[in-house]
Amino acid sequence: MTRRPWTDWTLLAPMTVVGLFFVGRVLWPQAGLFGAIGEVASLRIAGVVKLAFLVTGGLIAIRNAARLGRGNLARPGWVLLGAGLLASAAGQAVLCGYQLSPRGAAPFPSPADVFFMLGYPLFIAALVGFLKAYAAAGYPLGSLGQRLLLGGLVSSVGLALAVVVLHPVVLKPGVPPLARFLNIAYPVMDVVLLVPVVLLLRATLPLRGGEVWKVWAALLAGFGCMWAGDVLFACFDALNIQSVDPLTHAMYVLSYGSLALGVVRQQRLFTS
Amino acid sequence: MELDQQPSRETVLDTLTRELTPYLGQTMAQAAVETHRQKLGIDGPHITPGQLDALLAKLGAGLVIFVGRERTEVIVRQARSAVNSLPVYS
Repeated sequence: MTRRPWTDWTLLAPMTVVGLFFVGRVLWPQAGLFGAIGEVASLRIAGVVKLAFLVTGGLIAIRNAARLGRGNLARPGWVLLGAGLLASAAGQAVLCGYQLSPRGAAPFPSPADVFFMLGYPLFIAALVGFLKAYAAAGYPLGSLGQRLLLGGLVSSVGLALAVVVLHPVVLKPGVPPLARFLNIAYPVMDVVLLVPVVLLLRATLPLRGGEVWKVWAALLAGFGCMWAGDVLFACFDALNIQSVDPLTHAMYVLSYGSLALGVVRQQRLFTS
Repeated sequence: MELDQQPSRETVLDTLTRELTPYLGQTMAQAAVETHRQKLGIDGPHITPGQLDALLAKLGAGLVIFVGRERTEVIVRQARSAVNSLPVYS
């Protein structure tokens, strides 16, 4: 059995502890620790953990790009992934500013959404950049027809799910226009993001068992959790389903932690 | 070294696959070695030093996008060393 490197544990440990805490808060809201730590305190802890993951991931992703060297086909993908993580970190920093203030909670929408929205095109461009790099290097991505079919299937299923989720969001009266726009825009951007995620999953599945797969398993899990977090947030905010709020935080913690884990594993590939 | 004393083609290809497996996984390592073997037209019972160089160059070019140039050079050097240390068949 191979031992998991300590660098993995530095990210996995806070992901597990904070993630399980929020899941426990949903299941047993009054029990022991879950009831003892107030909502504001738990929001602050989660906010700082998320910010740490995003800053770590963003900076190391940019460093990974530099280590790949000029002319490397995967370099633009790492630069864009780093930029996406740092844009999200800026958004999270704004949220932390609210959460750490006496007010204790961030409004929605807030200036943070400018940065979170900026992150999506950067993430999408990063994943498309990786796909192009792997195709150019001769790794099998399937024929153009297969890719179009898979991309079409994912976007169709994703849009169908988005319509189910967004239908009540769109129709709900009294929602400010910007909040309504963002509650629709986030899941729609997620669907767009999901297409290259699934294409990359298909492309990287044959790497299972190798060190490179560990990078991609973490990165793609991170984007999957981001999608789940955005869907839960839309339910929480627009439909006022309070019970899913802790799960939303759990998903974002897992998402940002997994993305940082993938980036750190890539860094380890350069030296191990 | 006489050609008929060299390790068989399959032995060399298996060795290269084994060297790449920790990074690419067995499925992709096998696929990469086999794809480049076919593209380079390496069909004989043995692999010549020139063919080995060409094969390693192709495998390195695929590996570099994942692990960077420095690490690729180390892996390619280890793979070459593993092939060179194979027992000689007669």
